[in-house]
Amino acid sequence: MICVRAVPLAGDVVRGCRIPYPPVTGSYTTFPLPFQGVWRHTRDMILALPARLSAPVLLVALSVCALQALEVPSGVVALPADRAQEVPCGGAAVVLNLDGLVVTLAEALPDSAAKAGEGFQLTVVLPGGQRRQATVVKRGTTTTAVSLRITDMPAGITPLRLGDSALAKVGDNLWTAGNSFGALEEDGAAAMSRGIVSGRYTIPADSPTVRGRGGRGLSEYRGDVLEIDAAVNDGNQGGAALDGNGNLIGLVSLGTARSRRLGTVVPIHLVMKDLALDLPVVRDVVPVDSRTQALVRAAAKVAPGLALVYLERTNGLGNPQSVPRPPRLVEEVPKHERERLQRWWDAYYHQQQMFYTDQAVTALVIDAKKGLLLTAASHLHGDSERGEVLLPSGSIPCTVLATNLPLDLALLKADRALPTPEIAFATSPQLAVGQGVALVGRHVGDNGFTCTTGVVSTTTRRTAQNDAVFAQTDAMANYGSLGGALVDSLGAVVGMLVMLNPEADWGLNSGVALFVDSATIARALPRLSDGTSTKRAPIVGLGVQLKYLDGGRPTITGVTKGTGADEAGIKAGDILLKVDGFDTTSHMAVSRALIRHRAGDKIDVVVERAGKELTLPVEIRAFGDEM
Amino acid sequence: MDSPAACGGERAACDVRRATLESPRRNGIACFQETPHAARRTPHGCLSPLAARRTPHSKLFNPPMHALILALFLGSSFAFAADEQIDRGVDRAFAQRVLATYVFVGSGSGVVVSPDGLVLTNHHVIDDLDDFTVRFANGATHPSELLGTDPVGDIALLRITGLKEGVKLPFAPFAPVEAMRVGAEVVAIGNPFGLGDLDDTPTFTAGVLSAARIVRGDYSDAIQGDAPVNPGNSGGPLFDRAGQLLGINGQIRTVTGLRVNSGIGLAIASTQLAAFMPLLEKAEGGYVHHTFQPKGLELKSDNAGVIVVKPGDAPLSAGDQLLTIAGRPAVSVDTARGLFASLPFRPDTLIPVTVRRMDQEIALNVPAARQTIPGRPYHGIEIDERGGRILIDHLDDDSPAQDAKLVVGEQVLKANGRELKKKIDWLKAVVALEIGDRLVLDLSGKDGALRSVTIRLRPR
Repeated sequence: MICVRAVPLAGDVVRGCRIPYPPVTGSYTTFPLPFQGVWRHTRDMILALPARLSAPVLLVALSVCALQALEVPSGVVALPADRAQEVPCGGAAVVLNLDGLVVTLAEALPDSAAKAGEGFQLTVVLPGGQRRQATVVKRGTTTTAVSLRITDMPAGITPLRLGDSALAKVGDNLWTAGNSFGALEEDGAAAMSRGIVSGRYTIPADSPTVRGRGGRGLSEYRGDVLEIDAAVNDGNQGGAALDGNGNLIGLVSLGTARSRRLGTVVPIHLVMKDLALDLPVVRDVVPVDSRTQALVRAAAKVAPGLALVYLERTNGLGNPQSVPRPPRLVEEVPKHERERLQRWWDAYYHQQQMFYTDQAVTALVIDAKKGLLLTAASHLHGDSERGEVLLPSGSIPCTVLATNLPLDLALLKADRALPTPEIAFATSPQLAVGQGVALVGRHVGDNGFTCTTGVVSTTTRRTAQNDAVFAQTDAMANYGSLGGALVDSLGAVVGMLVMLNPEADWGLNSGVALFVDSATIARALPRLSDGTSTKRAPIVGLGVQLKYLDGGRPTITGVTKGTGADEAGIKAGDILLKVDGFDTTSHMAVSRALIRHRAGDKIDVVVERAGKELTLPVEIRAFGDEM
Repeated sequence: MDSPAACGGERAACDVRRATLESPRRNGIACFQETPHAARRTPHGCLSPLAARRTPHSKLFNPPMHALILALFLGSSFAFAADEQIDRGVDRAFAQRVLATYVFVGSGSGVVVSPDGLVLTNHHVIDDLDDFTVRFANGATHPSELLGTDPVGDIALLRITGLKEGVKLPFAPFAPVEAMRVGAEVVAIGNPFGLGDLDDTPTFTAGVLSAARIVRGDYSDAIQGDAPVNPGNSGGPLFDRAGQLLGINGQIRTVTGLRVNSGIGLAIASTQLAAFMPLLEKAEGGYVHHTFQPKGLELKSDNAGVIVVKPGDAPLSAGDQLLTIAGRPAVSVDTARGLFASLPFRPDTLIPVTVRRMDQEIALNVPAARQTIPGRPYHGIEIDERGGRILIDHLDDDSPAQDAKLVVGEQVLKANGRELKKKIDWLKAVVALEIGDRLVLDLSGKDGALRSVTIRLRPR
């Protein structure tokens, strides 16, 4: 079970760094972490002991390992795609006992076996690269589960133990281990990703199939799923979703509801029931705790103050039927035509992902008595003006009271008081790059809230040369998370997710998501509460217009009256050389220099006039009215 | 410059050796001996408490100590929380330390890897770049020069020029192979979607290492992480939690055709970076080459593994099962090919290979071939033969020949040592040249002055 290899290191000094050069030999075992942790501690302890006492302690240690350690996910195997298939659709499967019982999902089978019945033979690639034949034993009816049997199981494969997936809840630690893009076939070990259970919902029976590249249906499964924020890609399907203790809680699926776009897990208890398998389930394990769990607990406390709002689209985007569907990709299509169609399908899929946004998003209840909710203004595309707050007790009509477009805020007012708790924003959020945050959203589901976790990516993001400053997180942000709360590990609401609109450069769940911090929200709220909208933020700058000629420095073509530049004596025709010490090599360079300052700051500007360099102190001002 | 960061970088660098030799022991104890927070803040700052204590342990029995050890075992299930690996979030000092080594390069990213300003990035980031200016997150811009580039492995090495005497930049030390543990926490820094172009603010994302030392196409020594990585992260660093450079982010894998994070980010591993650094530093702005599988070698997969079908130039036999190549397991045919191509090429490079032959494991050294850099080699010279003399007739704009300041009308006496009398001599001299090769021309000017010029061929 334990095979940790000591790796010899050749050392070489390069520039004071001792580095492993030439490339070091040795490969790495793929123990999930708790196992590594226990083993490491154990080994250290044993090494620390006098020889006579090592044996009993070793026994104790091994028993602790046996209790705690994750089985090495050598129990995850690959189902290779048919080579002939242009779009690879291989997957993974999990080994459940030493007799060679393997379960997977139909979507993980290669095309040639997709509809195959009992007795069909297919190839399985085991960790380390060995290949075996497996036979289809049974196909499920209520799920897409399929059981297989490998007849000549080699030694060294440790079957996975089943966890109690019926008890899985939002926020539980989770790992995926699978064959993403053929990883297991190429590397001989499953590729791992970490995350949490980010939601629980049911894919409705009448839900349209979510399609991938080439229009391939990703999953036929309809039913209860656990949504996860760990990486799920082609090749993960049928692979393992492990809880924090390494027990199997489900099989990874590519199927999602249309409104959700994160990977899902078919809970293992449903798979076992469907296949009429009865295997022992590991219960009563000590849940793995971590700072992530502290975030999740904080998120759960905040969640009741979040509401789901649906806003009516009066025009524009939001209707998936309006997107023309490309013709089917069939075998007879000639190759060049295929490529064109392929691109069309990719674009179609993209549009579905990005533009199918006629769905509810999250809003924060900031005043329950007055019925005030805050959400992201980018959700109002399609000129939405009214909608409904969807509550478990029924829906309440609401209207858009005011918006602040530079900060992407929209204040909504419900027709009557809301029967929910309120969100209390942190007055002075102490945000730091790298700090852990949870993103909490609402969605239609059994317990109704979604939670993804991540870190603060930056706190000084600008999207324009104005004073609107955003923070950014790498937590997976779905469209439904728009307007969701960012919560720190102490339970403070430190911001609200914004700017995730179809026009943003970044995509949903791209690991790039902007939010407005709570202090900025507090400053913007009075104006919003008055019903005053803000369309544009004042530009923060010198007050000059620039023109760039080829490769040179910009010439000032105009100076706006009453601005800092005007008062400092900058004239049209001057050549701008430096702003605050930074060379003016491009428009962007000038903007970069300016947005480091606030209105009122004085900076040195160097201009060339009649062949002479002049250094002038210029006050930066905000101009162009708020409107 | 930024002394705490520089200092931290150096400390971690000095520590690499110790980390490779002692880190498991030290890590195991550190969780108990220190508060988790302190442990994270000084990942390498403390000597192993265990090592220090071993001498007093010569007593055979020490009940309080052993009670403590047993308690630690039983408590080990709760120790995970203290382990840095399963936490979300890092402390401020760590973030600042790694951010200080980040630079914006073109529309991508780069990372400083030495105090005197060596910067690593991707080849594809600098490939079409004329201006190698790098910009730190504090807005400071520095010019830099291209020292060398690896178009196959996608690594490029720049050197920041014009640094003031005595300035030591904060830099990222290379992570040793032992740091590449699957599941370990990683941090990526980059400029996704060019968001930092306006505000000089790089993006910090976190995740875990999904796979270590893998082969993915031309990335023959890669690591895979699930920290979000997007266009603009290219060339940027992937750090471990000790602030060591695990790799240079370069690719993402997606199936939808969208160039957006999928949780699969591929980085070139620090082991390969370290191996190519000496070559890149000496490349004089040109290309470096990878090794390649021996000519004529044919492989297949069977139930056991990768089998040699035809050995070609390699000292192997048909039927050998390949076990390891360059010290890494040959899991599949594609992986085996990648492993043959994973080393820096020098004329005498031998690739260590182990095979199973008739139930015996044999270690062999296979002479490496040189991998061709894909593309059409290009020099930009047209010649003409006049009266037994080969003259330069035309030079393409923006070509290697023009960069080498050749002059139309000059006579070419020799090309790579071959005397030129006829046009065919010229063709013979250049026909076998590949991208990255040198073309040394002995020239005679119109005024009769003799000179020698070296041109490096690049793709058109």
